[in-house]
Amino acid sequence: MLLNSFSRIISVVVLSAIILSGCATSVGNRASFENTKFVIGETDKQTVASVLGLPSEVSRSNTLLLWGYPESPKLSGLIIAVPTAPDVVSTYAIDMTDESGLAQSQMVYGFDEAGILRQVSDQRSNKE
Amino acid sequence: MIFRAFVFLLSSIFFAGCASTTLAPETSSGIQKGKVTTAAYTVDKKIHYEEMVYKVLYNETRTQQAVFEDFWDIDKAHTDLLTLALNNLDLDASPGLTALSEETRAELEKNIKLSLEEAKQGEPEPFKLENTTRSTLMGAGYDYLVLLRTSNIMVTTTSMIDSATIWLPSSLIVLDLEENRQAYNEALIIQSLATYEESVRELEDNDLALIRKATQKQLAEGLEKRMGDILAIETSL
Repeated sequence: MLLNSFSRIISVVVLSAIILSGCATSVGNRASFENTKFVIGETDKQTVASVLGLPSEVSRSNTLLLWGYPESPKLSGLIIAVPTAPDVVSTYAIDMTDESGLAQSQMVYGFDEAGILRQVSDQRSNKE
Repeated sequence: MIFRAFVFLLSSIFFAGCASTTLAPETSSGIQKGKVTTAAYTVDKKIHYEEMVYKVLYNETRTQQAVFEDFWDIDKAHTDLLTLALNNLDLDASPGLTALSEETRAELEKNIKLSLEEAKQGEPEPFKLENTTRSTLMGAGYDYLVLLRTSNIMVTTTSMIDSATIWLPSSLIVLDLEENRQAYNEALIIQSLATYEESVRELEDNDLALIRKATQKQLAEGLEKRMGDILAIETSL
């Protein structure tokens, strides 16, 4: 009887997982890189900020102000609930933070002194 | 820029002061008679976003940072609010870091960063100014420094609801310049709530207008309510 009830709970949970894909995150970039239409020599940094959001990392090269963006927000932890007995659900938290606390930038935009886009560096495929 | 966000601030924003202690009577008396300089410094000029995302069989935490230093002079904004709060208590207070050279100011900022690192590790040493900063401020006629140190802006949310909590993890530090000692150092948590339509990053629209509005309002109200108690000055509030 108890085993039957336990199996039913597991079935409902698995079925829910199939039906529902869960929620999407909203802390990431405001647009995917593929959906941006930035033009080198024309687009300014205000436009980049309004399309993608503020950069995750900022640095400077000799001539350019560099804005870095990760492709997606960093996964920094998991909380898993596991039925461990018919009437017991145990939760397990997994901390995935690292010392840097930053996702490595995968797209880097370079701006000149006037804030105009001069360079786009796609670190995902190492192409410019 | 198209302002497509539908965002408004909840009225139930609040200021939580962890500070429970007050200045010693002799320091309180001194600060009411002397000249006070103010400074606010945010160590990491970044928004640290953290979101709990519901995934049916598990929850995950996603984080991303957003650097805002090119879009908001937060140090000036907070210094002005700190100065106003002290002036409202009839103290002779003014921002004094303009008296410092660029090099001395950089040294002070480095010192503040170091103090934050020590605080994170659990047992901070009393905050002390380097000699050049202290002598420059004393040379400008100041007797005390009131410093608001903020680590960054934190925005936490969950995927199930369209609202976020905005935090300014801060400490209020009072330094007696003549005696070269820390007279006060307590944590302040400045917290406000905001709602958004689709993405929490709508809070960045219009040069962070909503984050500015929320944090400035809370900081101003919190300082107005708490500063008298912290400095042991009787007010009519």
